[in-house]
Amino acid sequence: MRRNIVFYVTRQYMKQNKGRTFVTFIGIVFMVILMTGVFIGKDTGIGYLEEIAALKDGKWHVSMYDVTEEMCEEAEALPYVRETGRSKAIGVTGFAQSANEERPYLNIKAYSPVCFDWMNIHLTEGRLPENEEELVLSKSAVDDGARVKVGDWIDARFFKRSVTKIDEEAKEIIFPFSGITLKDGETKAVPESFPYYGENDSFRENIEYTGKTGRYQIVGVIETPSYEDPGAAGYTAITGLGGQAETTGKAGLTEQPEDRSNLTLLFDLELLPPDYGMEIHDIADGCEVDFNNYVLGFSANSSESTLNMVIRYLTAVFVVLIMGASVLLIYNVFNLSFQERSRYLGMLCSVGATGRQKRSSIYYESFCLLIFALPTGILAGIGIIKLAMLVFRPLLGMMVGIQEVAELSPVSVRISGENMAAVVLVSVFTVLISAWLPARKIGKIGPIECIRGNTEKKSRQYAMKPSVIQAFGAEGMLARNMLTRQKRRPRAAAVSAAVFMVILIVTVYGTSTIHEILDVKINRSVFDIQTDDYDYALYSYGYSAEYEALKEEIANSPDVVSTAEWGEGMFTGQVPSDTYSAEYWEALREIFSLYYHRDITEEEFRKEHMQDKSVVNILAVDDKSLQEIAERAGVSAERLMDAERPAALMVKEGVISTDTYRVSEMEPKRYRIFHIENMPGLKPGDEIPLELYDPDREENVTMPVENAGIVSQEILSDYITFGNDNQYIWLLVSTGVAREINGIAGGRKDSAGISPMLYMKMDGEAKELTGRLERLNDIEDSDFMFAKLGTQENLMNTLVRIADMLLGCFVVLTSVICLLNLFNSIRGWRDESRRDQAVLYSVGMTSGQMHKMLLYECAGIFLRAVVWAGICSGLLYLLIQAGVTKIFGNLRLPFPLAGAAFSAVLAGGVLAVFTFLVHSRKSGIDSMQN
Amino acid sequence: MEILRCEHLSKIYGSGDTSVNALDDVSFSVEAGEFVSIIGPSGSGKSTLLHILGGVDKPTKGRVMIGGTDIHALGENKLAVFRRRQIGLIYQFYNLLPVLNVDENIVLPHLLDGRKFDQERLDLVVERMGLTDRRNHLPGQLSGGQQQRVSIGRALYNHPAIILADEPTGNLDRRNGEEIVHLLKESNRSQKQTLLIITHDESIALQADRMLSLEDGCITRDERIRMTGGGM
Ligand SMILES: Nc1ncnc2c1ncn2[C@@H]1O[C@H](COP(=O)(O)OP(=O)(O)OP(=O)(O)O)[C@@H](O)[C@H]1O
Ligand SMILES: [Mg+2]
Repeated sequence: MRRNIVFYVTRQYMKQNKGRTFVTFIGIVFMVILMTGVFIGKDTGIGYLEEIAALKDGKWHVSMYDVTEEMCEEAEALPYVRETGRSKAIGVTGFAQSANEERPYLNIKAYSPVCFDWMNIHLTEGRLPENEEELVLSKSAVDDGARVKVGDWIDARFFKRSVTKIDEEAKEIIFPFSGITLKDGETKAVPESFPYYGENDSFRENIEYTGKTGRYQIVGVIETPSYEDPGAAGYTAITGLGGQAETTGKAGLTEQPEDRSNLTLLFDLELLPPDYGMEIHDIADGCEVDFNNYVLGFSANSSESTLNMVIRYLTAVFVVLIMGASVLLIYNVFNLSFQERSRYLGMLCSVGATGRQKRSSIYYESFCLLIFALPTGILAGIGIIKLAMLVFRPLLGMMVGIQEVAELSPVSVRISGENMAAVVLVSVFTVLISAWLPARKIGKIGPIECIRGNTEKKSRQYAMKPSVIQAFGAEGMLARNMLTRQKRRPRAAAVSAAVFMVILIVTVYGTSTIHEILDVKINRSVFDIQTDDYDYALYSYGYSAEYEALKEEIANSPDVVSTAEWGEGMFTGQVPSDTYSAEYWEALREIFSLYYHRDITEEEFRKEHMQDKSVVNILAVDDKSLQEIAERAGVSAERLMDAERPAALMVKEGVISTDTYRVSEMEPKRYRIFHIENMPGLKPGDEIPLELYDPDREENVTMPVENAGIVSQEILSDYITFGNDNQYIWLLVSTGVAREINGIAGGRKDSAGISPMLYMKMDGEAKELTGRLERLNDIEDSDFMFAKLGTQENLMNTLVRIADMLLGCFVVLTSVICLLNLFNSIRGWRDESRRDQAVLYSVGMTSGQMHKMLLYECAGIFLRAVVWAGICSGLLYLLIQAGVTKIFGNLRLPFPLAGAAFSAVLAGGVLAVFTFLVHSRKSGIDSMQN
Repeated sequence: MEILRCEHLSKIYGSGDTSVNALDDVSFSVEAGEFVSIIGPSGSGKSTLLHILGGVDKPTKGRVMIGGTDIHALGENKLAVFRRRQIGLIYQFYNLLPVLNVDENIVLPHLLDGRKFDQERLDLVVERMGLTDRRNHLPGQLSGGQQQRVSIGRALYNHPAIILADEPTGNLDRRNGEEIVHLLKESNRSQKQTLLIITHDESIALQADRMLSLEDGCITRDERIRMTGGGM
């Protein structure tokens, strides 16, 4: 006697239906692979990206500079801090063995052991220092020919460096790269990156011994650290940190007091609370804190919270979609094999099986499949992840812009208890759900229905439709009746086709949504200047003398190929309200109505809410670009260049939404966005009475500017693109006019003048110049900012591309599930129609007629699927739209019509191909053997 | 006039050790308008023979001539057309398409032939089959006897030269079974249709003009019970 007859019969059934069992098995395997990809793949990918990101600045998470012992202890006590490292600037000393007369010093730092690893310090010779009497020397010194070797001793006498102006003729001496301006007789301390100029007539370098001395043995040579400035007077040397002190060079201090050091933290990212940044800043109490966002960003812990949200949101969306597709697949299999299943279930019923036993049959089947599919899927998933990382590795490196990636050790798949548990749990849950639905249904079916295979209970009447026969012949009539009178059979196929379409549509839509989100949120820029031709940008707050000096130096540098100078003046000017069009005010009135939750009349709006003045933004356009823009817009470029009689181009379009326009503390009734076609209410030739605030006179000064013309964003799109939150008019002016404007409104750091942006293209890497410019960023209260163009974007681009890649893989794998589903449904549908086919065959239907009928049936199923997919994806679209709008604010996301059309064509094609494939395998005499 | 003749029909299922000789050199001929019953123990090859005669299965050897045409020499399409015009097949179960109502099932072969259906004739057939109040129902909503009457109605409406019936009364009670045979006989008489019936019921078999006995794939007896109504 069999131990459990239900399970035995189920096993027999599975054996007899090998094809279907296999397809279901494959479907579950794919589901598990996808889940593995989502959970383990995500961790692996992020881990790998972290490794890559760490190549750039090291793998540390946060550095705090110049902190006291108490602060260190407080930070070390944080629950999410996994490890800490200390560093300290010991000081600068003479380096007699140097062979480069421009670099006569050593900058000695001390690192605690972990810091060497965290800061990417790599030995080229010898070993790392083990105590505070040993040091490693930067390879740059050895390369320059310094007369030292490993084992030598260095005697250090530490001193402070400063410079004093001695040239009486010059008004002042500017060291733009160090942010130092020397006036008459002034003496100023210099940072460690300060070059050594030797003796000259302008200024003098002073050395003041501090009394501190030390004796160090060179135990190794290290690759030049990324923070060492090749133009600095000193080479880097690092000793071990014996208990108290050291530095990362970031702060640029030559020496730290005894009681201060730098603390570097490595977090336990799992434990990281969302507001950790605040806490760190609190502890640092005003001391400089540096977040390694490059590393933190990839693990969804960057200080930018939207980024974290995007990653979490994506994970959730993936899991839900995969589960949805898988549940449908498995449910379909259990549900559509009804007729065959009903035979053995009917048998079971007739021998008295209870509803529970019938249900257990289905659970047993799913359990059997799962027990084999789970390990298969996980192993296959890990294999795929390995393969994918192998393929994507060079690609990722390229994206992040780091070549060292190639040298990175091979990727290890990050399997943890948690992600493994997540895969198993979610997979089991998915299969259970998919089995539970049909099990519930099948348990309710009585023996009669099982045996007759017919759940039709109504005594409905079905009339003949001669019109259908007239129009589509016997085949049409057959197809119609097959679809309308026996809904259950083709339904599964229609549902599968619809799911296929919905998944494709949603992913296409999802891709563009994620693009939008990353674009708008992470790279949220009000405007974007086309800077593809340039590598770096120098930002300044105004056209100051220092700026002009720097600009000249840059322009004359042989390393610089070309430059372009733009200027940004957001909120710089004010104009009378009639400068804005009626269309704009009407939109604003509606926005106020939304905020006040009632219809505000024009009169009330004019009286209560409309101000006499409104803001305008100013953009100073690079002369060459302005000329081209003027030409395209049909405006005289000369007129625009004339700084004596200022003129400006007005940008035509703008956007205003409840998101961009806030009314005090109120909440709008709903989100609404207006795309305004005509922002300016002026005609070309009209005068714009531009009001500027003069901070010296503390009053508004009017500067009449002629409206030289109105340009659409389309004309500008090759030069500037504007973001989705431009609610003010932009005036485009020449650099000359911008200087005039700054003559009134600019000149101070806190004034609302125009801030120039100097873009430059370097000849090759130009390490020295960029290194010097980069150091401008380190100066406290610097008037300048220097940045590599595209670096801020880099992270986002990488994310977008990774998201695209993931979505691509997701579409492919989910499509496989959907296709299996479709194939299975079609097989089930055709299987159940086998007897019909036999009847049709016996009454003399030719195969041509059979094909025609099938084609009609396919068309019917397809139409039904299109309708369902249309409804579902429409609803999903609205849902996602609403959710995304709620979370991320103003996004403009049209329904992906092209994607929908494409997915419909694909689904229709696949449906027809599968149908005929299945049909051709099962037709003919075989179908007679019933 | 001879309408059907089969010569040296053999049918072997499978091959080698497991092969089954379902038909073994069967030859006979049937006159137009004849009513022939085929009897034999289970597994003797009756259904196999009928399928071959009906053109839904192919013989391993031998040929079937209907109205002078070797039907298995026809192409697949021609055979299908031939089948729907000349032959009416009736099985014990599953003669009908579950998605078509009574009317549609009856006119199906006619429609497949691309012809317009004749409402008057349809009404007549439906009435004769006693299905007038059921004509808009699907087979699933009909009893076994009613379903069988629909398949006979189809054979009558379409007017094939030969009706081949495989245990048409097998699942019916005696009264219903007799009614079915009565209807078949009537169409055989009035429409001059040739009728071949497989049956296990001796009383039905004895109503035929001629009785063929099959055993192990061979015809063991060929008895003429009475002269064909319109024969010679
Ligand atoms: N597809 C097949 N494959 C193998 N053997 C078959 C196949 N179909 C029928 N047979 C065998 O051929 C023989 C004749 O079968 P057939 O169905 O013609 O018998 P029958 O006389 O109609 O029996 P019954 O009165 O039980 O219907 C049987 O032994 C059967 O097992
Ligand atoms: Mg039989």
